[in-house]
Amino acid sequence: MNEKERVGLFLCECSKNISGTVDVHKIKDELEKLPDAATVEITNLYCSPEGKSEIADSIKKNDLTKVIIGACSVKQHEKTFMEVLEKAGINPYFLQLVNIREHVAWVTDDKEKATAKALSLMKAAYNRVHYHEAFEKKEIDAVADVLVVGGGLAGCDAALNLASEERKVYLVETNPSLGGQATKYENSFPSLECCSCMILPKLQEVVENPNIELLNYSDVEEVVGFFGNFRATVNKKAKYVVPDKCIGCNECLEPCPVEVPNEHDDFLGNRKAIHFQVIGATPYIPVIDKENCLRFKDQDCTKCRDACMFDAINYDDQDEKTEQSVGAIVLATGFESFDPTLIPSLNFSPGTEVYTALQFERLISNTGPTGGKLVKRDGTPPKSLVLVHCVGSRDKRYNNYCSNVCCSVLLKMSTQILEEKMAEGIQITHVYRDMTIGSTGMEEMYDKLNDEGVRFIKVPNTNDIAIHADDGKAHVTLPKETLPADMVVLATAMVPNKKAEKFIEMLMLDRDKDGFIMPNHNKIDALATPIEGVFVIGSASFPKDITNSIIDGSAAAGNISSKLQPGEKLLVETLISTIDEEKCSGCKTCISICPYKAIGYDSEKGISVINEILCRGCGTCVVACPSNAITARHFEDNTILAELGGLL
Amino acid sequence: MTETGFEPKIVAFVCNWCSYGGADIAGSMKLNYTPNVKLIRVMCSGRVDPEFIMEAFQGGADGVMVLGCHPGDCHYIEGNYKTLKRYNMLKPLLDQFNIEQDRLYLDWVSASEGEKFARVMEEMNDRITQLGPLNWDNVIDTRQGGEV
Repeated sequence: MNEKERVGLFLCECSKNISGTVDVHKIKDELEKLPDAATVEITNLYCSPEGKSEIADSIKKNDLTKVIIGACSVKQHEKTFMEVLEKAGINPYFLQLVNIREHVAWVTDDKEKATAKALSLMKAAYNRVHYHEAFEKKEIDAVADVLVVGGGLAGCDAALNLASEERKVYLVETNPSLGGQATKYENSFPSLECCSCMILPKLQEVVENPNIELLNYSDVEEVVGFFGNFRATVNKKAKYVVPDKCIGCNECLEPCPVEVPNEHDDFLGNRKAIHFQVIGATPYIPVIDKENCLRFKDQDCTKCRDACMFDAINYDDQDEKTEQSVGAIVLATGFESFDPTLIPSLNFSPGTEVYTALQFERLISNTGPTGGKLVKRDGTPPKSLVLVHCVGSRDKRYNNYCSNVCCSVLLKMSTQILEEKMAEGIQITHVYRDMTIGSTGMEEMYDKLNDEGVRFIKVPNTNDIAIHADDGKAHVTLPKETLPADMVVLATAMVPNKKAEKFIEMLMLDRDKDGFIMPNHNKIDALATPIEGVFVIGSASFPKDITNSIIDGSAAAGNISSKLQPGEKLLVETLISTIDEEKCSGCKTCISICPYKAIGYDSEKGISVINEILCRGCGTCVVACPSNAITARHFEDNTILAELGGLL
Repeated sequence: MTETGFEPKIVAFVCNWCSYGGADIAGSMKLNYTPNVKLIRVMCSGRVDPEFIMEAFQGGADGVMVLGCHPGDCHYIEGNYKTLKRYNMLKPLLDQFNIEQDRLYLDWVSASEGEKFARVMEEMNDRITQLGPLNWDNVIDTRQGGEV
């Protein structure tokens, strides 16, 4: 508590809004009796230019140390009046704005009680300001470069929008090529526009952008630091193919004697140990997969090197670790497909005519294992196809949410098969619960399929149906009928990518109830996370289609660009909590309770330490501290108790 | 004003983001409610130390309210859950001090719930009016330790 304060008390009439109910003159008389009241003034409107000048003049004339304004809500004019104090030469935190309008004058007709209530609020503020301390704005140096994790369409869009001469972007992709799940699609809904034609130019832009450092076939191993000052360690896996020499001629693939299931085709076909992610991938340079290559199993195979006309194969390539300093991190880790074997009645097993939607997409894609020919495993075209919606979605037993995209994808597949006449005379049947197709053009597509004879059978829950598949044929048992089917497609739920787990742990993020990375707020702050400077975009936070994933990328880039400007310092929150080193016992209670992971442990001193860049000043740690070692600035125990004393 | 002339003294700790805003909206809607409740703004309901509540009773409050954001809506992610835990621990302890549990009240009021804000003010006022003044003779002085 400061001795000998000179407190200025200002009562706003707000025309009749306050003075119509609250007798400000009576309050003035009472306040003038307070020992440290240097001046008590009344005016019609303190927020007007004249009103603000009156306060500023009074601060100077009366040499005020603290200012109390009885007026309106802090939401409306706290900033206004803090600026007045600052311009008049005193610390803006020496202000207390008392709401005698919304909280008093507007909510009671009883003038006597309203006046008494306003007076006690003013007295509480008078008590309170004696404990107000000066706080200065603090700025820190920050790096404007950004790390984008995930080279799908969301991540690529973010990278393209962020990269500039002043801002470098490090784009890390675990796979050899960019584009993510979208590269598996032949075409997109609703227009059946060719996916490759749409996305490859964008991916090529990423590769050619001099301000994007593409770290493909690489993994982020560690991230430390905080907003403006992160450090990321990235492991660039050995590719065994020299990018500058390889021209993507494919000659090395054929001679490779190894065949393994192709994860990029969702294990539908096989690939070689030296392989491209997909034909036409960006960048279009193969990698040798060390797990399966014979050379790394002590065999002296050199077939790919022998076939290479450009001397691009280098068996001595090594993993390489690099370290990057970045100011912000964008997580675009995407989704993976729900495992349908978790629903026993579907009897999903590889080798049958039952496919996941992603596998089926590869089957009808020109770059897929059959070159885009829709054929069963025996090579003959199917006469009947059953598409099952909501597999593992919208069901508490598996995933309670709707995956947003699957209905549209299945309708798109049906349209593609019929329009491109992929199987003459085929009967297509959809088994669904509800048709959730919100995006533009999809209702028309649904109507057209109905007109063209596609059957739509509504069942109570698609996860309760039974599928039996053997001898190249399948049967789908519904509550009221059994459908024979040459092929069955399961629209498996989009589930959180397991590779995102590592980032949730490293960056101390939270998962939402469905396991996705939780944003700061679902509606008004859906791209930022509780960890300042870390953003989540695309399907990493919830299943999204291509359109919304790309919108996320652009929006996050805009958000970062405005917060983290090259060459500028970062303004940090002033009203944070602080720890008294002498009092802290190092029990770490505060560390576990902080929602922003802003508190760390200094093992040398044996105490907790608040990172002033991450702390947002909520004050919940202050209450939890058993040693009373933590103080919330501007909301210190003494300050609040002084205010309380004034009210009672 | 009641027949006995008892006007309760009630203090409400409100969070900056939701409940303070709820009080603002109640004002903008010109809803009429009791002037007996006075607000203290804190950034988060999670800042409300059980000690503040005991100090309020000690200092003469007949009732204390803590108002925060709805579960899931906390501006600081989960401060209100901390509040709920602390409230659930403190409330039964009030019996030990001969303070009726109904004198402490926790609720969630969003920045749009002007109606709810006015309603909980009225309901609290009614509850405390029913209970009457806090019976000081039976209350143990928390600061002095008191006689048990």
